[in-house]
Amino acid sequence: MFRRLPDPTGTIAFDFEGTTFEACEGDSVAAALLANGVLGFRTTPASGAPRGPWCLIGNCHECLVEIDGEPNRQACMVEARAGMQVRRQHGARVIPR
Amino acid sequence: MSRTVGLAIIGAGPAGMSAAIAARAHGADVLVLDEQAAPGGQIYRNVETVTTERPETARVLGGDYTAGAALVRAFRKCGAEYSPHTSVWEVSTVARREDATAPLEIGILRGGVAEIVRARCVIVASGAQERAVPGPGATLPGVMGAGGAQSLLKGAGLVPDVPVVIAGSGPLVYLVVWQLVRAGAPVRAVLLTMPNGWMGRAVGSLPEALAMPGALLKGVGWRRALAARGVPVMSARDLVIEGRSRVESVRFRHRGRTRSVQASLVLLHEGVIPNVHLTLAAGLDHAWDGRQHAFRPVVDEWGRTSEPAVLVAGDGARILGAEAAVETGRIAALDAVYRLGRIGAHQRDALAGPHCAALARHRRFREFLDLTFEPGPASRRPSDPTVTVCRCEEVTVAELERVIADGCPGPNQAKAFTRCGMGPCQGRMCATVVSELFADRQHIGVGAVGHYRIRPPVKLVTVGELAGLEGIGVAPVDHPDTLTRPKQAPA
Repeated sequence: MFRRLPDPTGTIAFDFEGTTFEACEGDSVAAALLANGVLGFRTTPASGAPRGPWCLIGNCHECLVEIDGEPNRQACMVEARAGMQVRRQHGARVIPR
Repeated sequence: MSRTVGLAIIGAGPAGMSAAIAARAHGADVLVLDEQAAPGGQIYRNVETVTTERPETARVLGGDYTAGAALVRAFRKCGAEYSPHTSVWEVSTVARREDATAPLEIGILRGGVAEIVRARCVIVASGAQERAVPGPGATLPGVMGAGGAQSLLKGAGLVPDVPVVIAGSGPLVYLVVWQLVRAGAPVRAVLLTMPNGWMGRAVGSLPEALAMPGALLKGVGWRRALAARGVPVMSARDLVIEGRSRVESVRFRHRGRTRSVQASLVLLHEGVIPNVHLTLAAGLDHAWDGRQHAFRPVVDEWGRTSEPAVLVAGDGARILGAEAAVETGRIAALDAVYRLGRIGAHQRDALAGPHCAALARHRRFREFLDLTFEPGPASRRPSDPTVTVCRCEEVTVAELERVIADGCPGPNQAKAFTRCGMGPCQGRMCATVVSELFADRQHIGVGAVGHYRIRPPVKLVTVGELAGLEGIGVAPVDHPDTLTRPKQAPA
């Protein structure tokens, strides 16, 4: 879907649903997922339809994912970090116990 | 104990940064609260990193973007306290209803900790958001705002490598296409959705356009560059985005004939509108702007809202662009330092003069842009009953029409009937569309319909984070059972 412009950047590795993804330092989680070909970030609570990021600046809330076990995180507003565990969010968020 | 500052500025885009610089020049203590990791706002997102470490991204984005680095440098040096990664979930004027000299209370969230900071004066510089573009297929993964795609380019150097179609209206359409083409993205078509008659209005407002000949020439240059690269630019009506679980193609009508373009990414853009959630939640007066088709806070020439200690600068007050935001930021800062007793009224007025003159030129040029790129009724008030208006709760045009026909009086009541506007985005993506639909079907003005009532917190904050606020009085729970089981008396 997306490629990187040829600028030198440091890389980090994180986990997406059991697969190791590489991202650039400073990427948002949303940019990191898109760079790895993930387009559907969540399914809606109402109908289960797939959704992906729309605004990338924190407004639309279409990019909600689960990060390190915490649901309802805006992927476009969280910086990707080495070792992070990221999952798609299916339907309504489940509050961790 | 929470602190009190003289001036708190919310947002570090062009308006927020220039307000901070101007206020610091008069010795005010300034705290800048910014949701992003670094100053720049959306227009200059990531500009420090790009200009120092990413030459190819800098080349692709162009000189207007990299020029923002100078403003960021001046801001970094101005002596304002800068708080990045900080979201503001409330500006409260409640204390001032009892005591007009009480400070404003600002609810912030930083590093997972909620706090209240107090300020004698606040400048809201929270900028703009892209107007939502509801339409058939617009919720499919692979449909983004054109500004969203630009944000990926600025923040992460990401360029689409699949067929892209850009559809909509506004100067940003040309800028984004120009940047994507420079970056080598396979742009298949640029579809212009301006309603009939736009060319006449553009020509009619040429005197306004000549207020800023440089900007006009820039636009002409973008169009020429696209033509030179063979990117098809054409008018389009009745856009339908098709695909099963992601975008596959775009169907539209061009000069009466149906056409289809294969695409994996569709970028929509119908202009930008002020971000009003924070000012609405603060209970400040807002009005409908019929020219820009958006709600905006009611402000005077200084940017003062209905609560004079809260000013709004930049595109959050009215869409005028980044260069005008620098001027409104400075003007608001001058009134703020006057309020803080650092300059007198005469000095404030004299210093504001040149900025007001510059602002007048930007306003004139904006008249031309607003007339030329006005989003058409088809984009603002979708008529196809199957179109999703509220993306979060998946409420369609048909459902809204049904409750309007049943006598639902307005957007706030529609929430109760349909859940529209009640999802995680808190109505950011549907508010304007819902108000427009009510106005259209009830044959009244959008201003009379009003906006959803917005209440704090306007950002995602957990109950746990709020419970940690000083003064809330929630004792830490050392055992979960304490909540449900009566404590036994010690033996």
